Amino acid sequence: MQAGDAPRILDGIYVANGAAIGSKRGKITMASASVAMGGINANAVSAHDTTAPAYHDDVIRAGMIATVFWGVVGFLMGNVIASQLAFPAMNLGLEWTSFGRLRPVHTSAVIFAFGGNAMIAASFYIVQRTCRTPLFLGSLGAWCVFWGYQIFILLAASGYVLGITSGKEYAEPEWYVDLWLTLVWVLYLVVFAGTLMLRREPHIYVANWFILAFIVTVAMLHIGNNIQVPVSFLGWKSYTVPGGVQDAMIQWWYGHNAVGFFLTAAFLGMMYYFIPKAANRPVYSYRLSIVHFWSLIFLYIWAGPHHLHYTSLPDWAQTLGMTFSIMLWMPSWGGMINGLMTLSGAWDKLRTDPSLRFSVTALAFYGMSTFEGPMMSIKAVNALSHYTDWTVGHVHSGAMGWVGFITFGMLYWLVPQLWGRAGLYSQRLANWHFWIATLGIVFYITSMWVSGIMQGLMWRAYDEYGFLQYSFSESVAAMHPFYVIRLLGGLLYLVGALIMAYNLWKTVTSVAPVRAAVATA
Amino acid sequence: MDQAQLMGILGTVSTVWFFLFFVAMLAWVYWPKHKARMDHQAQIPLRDDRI
Repeated sequence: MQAGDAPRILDGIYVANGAAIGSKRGKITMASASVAMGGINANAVSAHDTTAPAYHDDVIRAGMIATVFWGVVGFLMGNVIASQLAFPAMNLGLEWTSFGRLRPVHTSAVIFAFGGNAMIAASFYIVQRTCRTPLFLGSLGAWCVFWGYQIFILLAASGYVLGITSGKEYAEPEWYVDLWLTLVWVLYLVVFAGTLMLRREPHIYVANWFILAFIVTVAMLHIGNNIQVPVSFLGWKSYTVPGGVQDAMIQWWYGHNAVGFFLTAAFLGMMYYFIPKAANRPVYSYRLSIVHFWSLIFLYIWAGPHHLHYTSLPDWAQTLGMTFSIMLWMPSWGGMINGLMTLSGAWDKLRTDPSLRFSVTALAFYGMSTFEGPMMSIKAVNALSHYTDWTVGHVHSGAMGWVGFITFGMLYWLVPQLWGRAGLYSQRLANWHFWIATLGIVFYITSMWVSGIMQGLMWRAYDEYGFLQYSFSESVAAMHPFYVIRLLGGLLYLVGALIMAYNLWKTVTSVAPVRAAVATA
Repeated sequence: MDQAQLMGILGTVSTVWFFLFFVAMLAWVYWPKHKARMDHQAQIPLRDDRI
């Protein structure tokens, strides 16, 4: 098979790559690597082990392309529905393009298509390098995961547009898509866990712990939240087995842990590998990363009930959800500090390395949203914030700021590596992307803070006779200017992503391969 | 024993168990003898010269 040969050639290039980039990255890598090897653990596999088998990187390159593609699609859909909220005419009067149908297309595209492809590719990259072994089941297994996952995305999105939905937020796919995803996801687990079991490095690096927790927990959440019975033999419609408040609790146990394990634990795994890699320094404290892992995964799983404050969910369950959400602040900030302090002594790299600039800003947004989240889970605060745009702003500071930026940071570092290029096509364009996207996020979250708090206050305002002061439609009208600002923020974020797509495309197509750079050196 | 009593006991047992697990994890992680090994483990991503 041809696939086996390509990475082997790249292996050869990379040693040259170190020499070619020289002052920038390569020399330091060599130095720190040999220091590490000369020291403590003689069992560790030598970095210069020429017998090491080739890694399966073709599927990871495809994952990079899919990530950028779905990112642009997802951001575009976000802008479409944001424009519909500001200008209802944008619904076009068609059922297929109405807000209710396109909203899950947006959320699934950004979370599962953009985020999912980024994580599948990142996890395949990380697990091979940190275990120093190619993927279990080889190239074929990885390709089945990749294409199976793309089919899942297309099945889900086509259903939404046609009105096929379970109506469960972030779990909208109906039973036939759920079954397909279960198969793909179990295969993903087999490939990942199998690679861990075949590892040539005695220790399992912490990034893999986070990724394994992500894969296992998402499998559990997906199955647990989708125990459903189709209404007819060949019809798409199904209903979940649990009903009422039990269904609501299971849904938000799923929903919040989709945030906790899909958008947080998985991307922390990305962070724990790519920040040390891009900064060329080990993570600030490996010991803290272990405490971070165990406390984060133990606490997150209990936080779901904060989505159901002041509902028919029993009070004790609401308080439990609130308490665990507040406790989550500590591991979250422990992890943020661990990531940021990795840059300690190398802060100057932020000026020159767009990848690190994105990753570090991602951590800042992570810190901000993991402070905001516990605060919003407090019942008294939630009484104001729940069902308002504040929640929407909170989600987007995490999604655009943390998940988006940590992924952009990975792409800017990994795409030149995977295609054997000396560096990015344009640092300038990457910097433009950074500032445009950051400005976009700021527009988005500040407008949603104002809109959300105003909305909450208007809903609870009473006049002197004890009547509600505002009708609901008055609160909707008052939100209009903020919806326009939010749309502007979203457009900026999309423009940034398009600049990135162009920059990465040019990196692959027009930057000279490292081999040429070696020849001139 | 009825269900409420059982749930009460299970709640207490799991709280104590999680607390002990957490303390044991902290002790293991911050045990001075383990520091060198973990510092070495932190180097795993950087020890790889191949892409």
